[in-house]
Amino acid sequence: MSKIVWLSDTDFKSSGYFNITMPLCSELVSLGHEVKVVGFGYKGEEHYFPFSIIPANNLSDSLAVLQNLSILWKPDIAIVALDIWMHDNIMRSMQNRPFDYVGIMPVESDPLCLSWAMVMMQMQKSLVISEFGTQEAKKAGVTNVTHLPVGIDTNLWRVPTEDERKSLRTSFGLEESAFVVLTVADNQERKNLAASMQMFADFVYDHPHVSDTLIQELNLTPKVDAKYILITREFSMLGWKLRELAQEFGINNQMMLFERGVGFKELWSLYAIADVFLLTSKSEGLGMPILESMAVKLPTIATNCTGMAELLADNRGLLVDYDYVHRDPFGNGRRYWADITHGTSLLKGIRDKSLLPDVDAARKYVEGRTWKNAANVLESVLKEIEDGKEKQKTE
Amino acid sequence: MAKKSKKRNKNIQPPRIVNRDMLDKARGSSLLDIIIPVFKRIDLLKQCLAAIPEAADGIAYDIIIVDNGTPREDCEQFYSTLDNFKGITILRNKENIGFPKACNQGVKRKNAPLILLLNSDVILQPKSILGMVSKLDDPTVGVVGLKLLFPDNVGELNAKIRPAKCIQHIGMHTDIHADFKHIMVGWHEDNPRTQNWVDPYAITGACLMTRRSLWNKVGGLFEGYGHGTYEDVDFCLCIRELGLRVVLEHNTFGYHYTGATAETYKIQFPMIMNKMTFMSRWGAKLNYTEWMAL
Repeated sequence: MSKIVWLSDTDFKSSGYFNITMPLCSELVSLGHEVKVVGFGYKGEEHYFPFSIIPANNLSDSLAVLQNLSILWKPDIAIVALDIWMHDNIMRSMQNRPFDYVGIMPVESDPLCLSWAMVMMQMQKSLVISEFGTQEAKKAGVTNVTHLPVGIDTNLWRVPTEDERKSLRTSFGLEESAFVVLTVADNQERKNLAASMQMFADFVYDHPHVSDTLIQELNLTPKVDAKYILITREFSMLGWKLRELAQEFGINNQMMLFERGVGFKELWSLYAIADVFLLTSKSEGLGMPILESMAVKLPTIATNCTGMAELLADNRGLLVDYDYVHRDPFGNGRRYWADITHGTSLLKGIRDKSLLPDVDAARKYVEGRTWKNAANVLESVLKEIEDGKEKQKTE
Repeated sequence: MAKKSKKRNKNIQPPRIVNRDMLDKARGSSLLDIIIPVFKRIDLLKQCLAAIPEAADGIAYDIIIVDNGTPREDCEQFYSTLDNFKGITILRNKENIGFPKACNQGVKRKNAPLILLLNSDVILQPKSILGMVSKLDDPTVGVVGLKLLFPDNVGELNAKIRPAKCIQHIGMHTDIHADFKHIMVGWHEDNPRTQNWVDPYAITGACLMTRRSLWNKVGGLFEGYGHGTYEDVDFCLCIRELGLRVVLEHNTFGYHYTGATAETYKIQFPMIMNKMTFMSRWGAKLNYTEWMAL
């Protein structure tokens, strides 16, 4: 069994990497490995995981901890779960590293640019969290890439009963007739929150391109009793001024804004009271909130691109067409802009039940993506590396 | 035949194992001097003193209270009740001379082979002193600390930073910036992750036990830290330089209000200045240790 140092973003206020790191490291420990996690963003919060989490404020602290551990603890392998550009920084800083390097990352848009593909090629093994991303990596010439099918705990993410839904909606002050749209996404450009909010506004007022000006000019009133629950990071330096945007779209009274980092029970409750999950990201490496939504059998709408299209294919969810594509400076990746009109029509379809995705198939799909499966893929990768080293020794 | 010259062994000899019963019976004197610096908060001092007999569980001890300028009207009545107690000495300073100087002053007053520095806001639990003394039976150990928890009811102190019955102290370690930190503060005592009992890099002076021989060798607490902070870590590092261990007694524990006097009377400590002093003394010799303990 190996000594594994795992480096990732472990912000306890919830990051996608946190949701991947904790269950996978727990599985690795149960398989007999010794694991220490270098927690980028970890502030010493109490936890009960069966491994250490060592605090590191930022990337350079993380590198310093990694370098110290390589001398003091002598790990056999480093597994680094971060964005590709961070892998680049880490591997440049530790060129003569005394341990094997396995990278876990999203490939959030197509195509994978050559410089990032070259970063992946330098690893002993690179693991991409979506089949879409894995294929993009292969197209770019990466041969050491494997799909890591990360999942969620479907025992925790169970389907709410009708009674639970009713009583939770009452406790949130919601009428039974209210149509609740839920979005869980960070307040950053790629998540395109403005599009979700526009879709919701157009849906509520039953009018395209709703704005406060238009509402006044045409004397528009809400046609639907609806609520928009948004779980996000309200005050983000590069994000939207969400409350001002809500004001502009005339949905101030309908929007309920929750700061990210809500506890699991509260988060599950918010999924339980919703009628539809909406994500209009321009690209996604995977989309953990989509998996959560599918697990609780909540009808899910997302942009028809990248990781989202993979998860919601075969009518497991409803996919919003995109009406514009551009190339983003971040990795030269394509960004897909959701068609507001189409998205609004999907919301209407869910509400009047004329369009319903197969939520049972969605749940079954998520149940197949267990952490044990993901850990087994990781374990086989570790074994492959170990066998490779043995073979080199005998040769 | 020429006499063999006996070369003096200039190295420190490991201290002899202290046989408590033998010492108590043969010498009829205390095994342990407990030094308690005090500045106001006589209410907490009363609780602190009341808990000591059960904590000692038969160990012979003397108490030296070093009062750092508590106004007479706040303490006279209580101190007068202690006059008739054998084994309690009160040293009165006209002003607050700070924690390191007060401790050094108190230690010099008596001569027991073991010394316990104890904050007046620490309430020792039964057998905790016995537990700490037992750790010093190991000759490789130079300093013993004690697991400390926040108490159940902190009165008018800020309860948000003192979660009831959660960990206040199970050792100090250095982070990647070589800053000393208490690890797992606020964690639940029964959390399995807190049971990884590696030797701490340093322990808090709120409850610190050592041998008088080592205290004298090191020269006590470094008084360059003024009113206090860093003197406990400094002392622990001095002990480590002698090749001895710093350990934590974790089978028993104490309750620590933590900074009760400082918070009540808004006393500030020269943290930045003391950190600079500390780093000038130890900066080149520090190791990175928190990775082992977490």
